[in-house]
Amino acid sequence: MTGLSEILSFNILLPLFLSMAFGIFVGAIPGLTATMAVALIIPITYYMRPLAGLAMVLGVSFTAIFAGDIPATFLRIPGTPASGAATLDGFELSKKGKGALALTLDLLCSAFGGLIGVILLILIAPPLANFALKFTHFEYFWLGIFGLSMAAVLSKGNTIRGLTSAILGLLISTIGIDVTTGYPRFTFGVIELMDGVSFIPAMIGLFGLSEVLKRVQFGLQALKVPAIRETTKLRFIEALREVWKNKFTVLRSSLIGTFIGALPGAGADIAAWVAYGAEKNISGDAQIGKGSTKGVIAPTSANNAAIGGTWIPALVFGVPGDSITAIVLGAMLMYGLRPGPMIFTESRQLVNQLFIIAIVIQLLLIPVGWIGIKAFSLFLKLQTSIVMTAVVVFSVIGSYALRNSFFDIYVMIAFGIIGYALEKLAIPLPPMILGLILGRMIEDNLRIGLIKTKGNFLPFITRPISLTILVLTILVLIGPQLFSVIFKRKSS
Amino acid sequence: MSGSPSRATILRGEKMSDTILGVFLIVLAIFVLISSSSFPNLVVRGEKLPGPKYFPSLLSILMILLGVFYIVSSTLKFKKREKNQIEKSSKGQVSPLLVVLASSILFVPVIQLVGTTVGVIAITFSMMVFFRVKWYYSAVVSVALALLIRLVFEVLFKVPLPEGTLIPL
Repeated sequence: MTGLSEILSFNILLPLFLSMAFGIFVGAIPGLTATMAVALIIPITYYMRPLAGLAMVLGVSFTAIFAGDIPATFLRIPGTPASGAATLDGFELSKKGKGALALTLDLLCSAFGGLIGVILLILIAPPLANFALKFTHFEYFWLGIFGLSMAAVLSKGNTIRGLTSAILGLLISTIGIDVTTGYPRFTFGVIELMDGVSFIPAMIGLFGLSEVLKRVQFGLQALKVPAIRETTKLRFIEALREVWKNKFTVLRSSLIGTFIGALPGAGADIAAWVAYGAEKNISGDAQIGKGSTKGVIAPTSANNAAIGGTWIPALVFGVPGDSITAIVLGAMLMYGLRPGPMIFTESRQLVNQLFIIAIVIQLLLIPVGWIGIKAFSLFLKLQTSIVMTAVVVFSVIGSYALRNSFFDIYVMIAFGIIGYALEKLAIPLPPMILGLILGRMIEDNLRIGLIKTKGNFLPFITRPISLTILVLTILVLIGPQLFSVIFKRKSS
Repeated sequence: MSGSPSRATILRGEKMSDTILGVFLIVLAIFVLISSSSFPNLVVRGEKLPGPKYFPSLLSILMILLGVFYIVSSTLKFKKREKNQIEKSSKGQVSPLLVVLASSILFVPVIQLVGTTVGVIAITFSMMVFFRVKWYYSAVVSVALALLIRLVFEVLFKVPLPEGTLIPL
């Protein structure tokens, strides 16, 4: 009880609330990631007690992931990489004048998804983390391919075009120094490309600048209207009804999100894409991708649930689930805590308090998120031309800010043009982003696996977990066509 | 709107875009294959293992296959796609698009010369005036944007923004 009263004290709740406001602010600004938000808050928490400091870190990470969905819905610019999947249907709904509904759903599902993720973290942390540790290069290779196959399925009605986009993304990911041999590939003497194409500027260009280019191509008259023409009064009753109607989608996506989050290296961004693809396959909703509420519910439930998932291997084995938990592990060591199995015995009370704080955050997320949406929507009441100008400025400065690099601005512009051209050729952009994220993981695991087996591909398909993921991948790719053929035969 | 394009025009446009895409993929794949041919092999104890060229070459083969698929499919058959999936870009104007691109590209030399604050004010003011926003409104918004950027990035997050050689702001 003393633990609970300590959590509910002013000393914990005030910093928690402030950190959540900070998370909303950073997450909603394109170019500033949730990882960056956590990294920026760590120095502030340095002089605090471990509980207050870790509460702030938790608060920032959950809210920043949610806040990334706000510009994703209004502007098709994901605030954080984890919001990539949420741009699709959120923005389509926004175009139909249902942006407020999309954001309310987003807010509720982020809270519900986060809550489910935290409950799963509390209940099944040890066995799930144990399972994730069984993954080797062979399994990680198929996990990446599975993610890409999802991306192809996500493409609006054309898997081939989705695959084309994914392959282009994979190709871009090969730019930079080859990890195995140290040989620079496709850098053409440009030093800035040695580390590869920076992901954040690429994403800002593909989703931000290309959208501005798309909007301005129709002339100046189209820029005179407000960026959003609907009221942003949040529609809680309607959204709650929608959530209840799609309760299994929330549950399923949260489970997927937690599981993916628990796999080291696969964070909230991949979780959101996988949940989105799974929903498209399972529900068979043809409107997904064109403005479906299911398309908002699935990724937003999954990305917040994934945060709970990332804490599973981090807490139990000291292995970070993603870049955020990698920073958090560093912070825990800074506080004198040793993440790993012993933390459950040595600092059991602290762990339990962190679990309770994670639950409190999900409850606080709704009022804090509501304020965030209101603040951001005021900005969007302005004329489209002003908003588009601001988007260009924030895209430029946001691309620069991550590494203080002018080169990244040019990367962003190049990807803006690429995105614009690809959309002209009816090539979807999201699979390219996923190819870019998963490229290194797929290539490294494929090559290391082949080096281990001296070029023999057989272990990639004979190991039980590998085989299971392979079968799942095939099902994802040909399942929809197979089901439609079966249903057609049945109906005829 | 002087009337929507005919079905034949739309299909011709789509066939053309598939052909362009196919040719682009094949040319890119050939470029990747040629570039990666100079990458070293990975040989360990006399055994040739998957080296730096392995994955790009694999992707190139897939791109060639896809390129051939697009060219063949655009040549052999008309696709049954809905009209509304085709973007009617022919009605668009090129100049605003070029202005956005030029402004983005000019950002770097301008802020290197006059600093972030003045650079942001100059570029955003010019863009908004071009977009026919009233000049005094453009002036207020551009100053507000520049101050917001300074507040968010430099004051709050301690991200150093570039200073100009002429104006160190």
